[in-house]
Amino acid sequence: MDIKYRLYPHPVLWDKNDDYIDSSFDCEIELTREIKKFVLQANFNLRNIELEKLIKNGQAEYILHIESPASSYRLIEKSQGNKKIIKLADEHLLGKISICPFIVTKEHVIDFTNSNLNEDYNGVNFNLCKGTILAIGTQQIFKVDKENEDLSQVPSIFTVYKKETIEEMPVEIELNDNKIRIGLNITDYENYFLNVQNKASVINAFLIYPTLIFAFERIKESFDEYTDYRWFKALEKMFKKYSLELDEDLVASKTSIELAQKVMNLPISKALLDVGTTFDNYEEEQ
Amino acid sequence: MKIHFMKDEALTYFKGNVDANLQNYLCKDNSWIYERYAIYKGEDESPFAEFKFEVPDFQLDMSAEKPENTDYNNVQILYTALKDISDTQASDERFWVGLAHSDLWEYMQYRCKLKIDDIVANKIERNYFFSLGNKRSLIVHPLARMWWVGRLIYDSHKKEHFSALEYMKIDFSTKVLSLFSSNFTNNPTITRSILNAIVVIELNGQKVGRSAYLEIVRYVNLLGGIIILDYLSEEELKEKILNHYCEVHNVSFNFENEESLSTIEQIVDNSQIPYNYKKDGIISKQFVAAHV
Repeated sequence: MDIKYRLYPHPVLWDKNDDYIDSSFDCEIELTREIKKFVLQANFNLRNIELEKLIKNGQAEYILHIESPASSYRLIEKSQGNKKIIKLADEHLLGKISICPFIVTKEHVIDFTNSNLNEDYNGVNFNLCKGTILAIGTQQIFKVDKENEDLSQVPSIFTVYKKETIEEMPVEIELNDNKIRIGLNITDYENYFLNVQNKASVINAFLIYPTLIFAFERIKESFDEYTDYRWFKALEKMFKKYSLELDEDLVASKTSIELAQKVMNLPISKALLDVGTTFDNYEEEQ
Repeated sequence: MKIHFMKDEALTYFKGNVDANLQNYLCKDNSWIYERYAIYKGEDESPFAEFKFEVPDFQLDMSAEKPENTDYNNVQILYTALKDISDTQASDERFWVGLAHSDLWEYMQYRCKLKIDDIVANKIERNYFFSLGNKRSLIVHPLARMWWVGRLIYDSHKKEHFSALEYMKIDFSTKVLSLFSSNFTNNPTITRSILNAIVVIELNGQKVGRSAYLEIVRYVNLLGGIIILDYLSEEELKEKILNHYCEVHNVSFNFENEESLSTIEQIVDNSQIPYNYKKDGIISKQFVAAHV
């Protein structure tokens, strides 16, 4: 559940609105990995005496809304106190984990009001049913990588395979997968296979480099569509090396050609150097 | 029994070569997969690997003339056999593609109604692979879809574990698509609330057609804008849906609740809805419009 900016028909303590004055709500969340589980520690910080009282009286409580969309896992954890430790089985979590803190009503609350409400609410009371959102904290996103060993090298995010056709066809690129798939017809694949070992940099320049440019173009169009794939996470890692965050701002601020060159560390220069060597050898053989 | 998933490299190869293998999908058995892969990768290379756990023996129902009419039974058979696999394993394309191409080859041909004159690449990609992005494919791939429906409907606390499935008996795949397109259905309690509410409505003689069904999903979406849906129990959310239905359709009806008395008493305290208690402890209630 991604929390979007929206209006509520009742006052909500949230840093995106001004329903309350001199009040705040947030939560520090730490997620650590242990054997076959994740441990989540939450510290709720509430600054509003009457909402605190409502919690103490058992009419409201803190909750954490936890969701892992890639594995269709979603649950809430409740807490009466301002500290909570939760253990989450590793098998439920995959990719992006979003955690959002709330305060909700535990029961039907009649004539709800609060001394710190914005003056717009003067004289207005609310009847709130069970589960009504009273406060929203900052949503935090964690990422769970299950196959770290596959993510350490750039080449592992591509897979080149043979298309069983002899027809002349353009290279086929598929991004909706954990690895970026590059399909070549039988002749191209065999030539690729013969040369991949000793002319890697040249192949990187004419096959992998444009594929990456294509990938960045697609990321620009639809960022969220690809973030859960392993190849995307590997790219994130590469950018981290340059102290850059692979986010929507980064892809908007640079061209796909620049981004691809950054990841591949200037592939054209390497390839030109290798092509030079190849020509030198060729001339010698003549 | 042992079941098989497809290796990474084999998945890439077969997914990228659906066109070249199109007619092979009509073969009686899957031996062509081994043959093709041996040519590609070498004699000893198998495209499949054994899944790390054995599962109870199971046989999917292929008895109906219209294969879609077996979905209701097969959700129960498949999920009961595979309910111990984890959510992450059940989100893995290799797992479902492996089953579709090996252990459940015959069922897949039956369910997908493959015929020589209308076999197209798109149909194979959609049914045998994940072709629509991981998340959506889970509710489009025939095997993954049945498992995920089972996962979200199965209620271990009830005698009839799959009672919420009743409404899906007819028009299974369309209903699955519209219901599971909402994020809130990732929570099984919410999913069961919706489906069990519809079962109650239909038991009371009302037919929940497509528009009434979408209206219910829309209402739950709206409700989720104000309250945390996950915070409500199955009974509480079901009750809100039933109240809303009665209000919108201007009807009222009784229903017999199978839950324990204590749960109901708690709901009475919270939502101020009038109940009539029967002597035998089974509760019936008159639904009235409630403010949510």
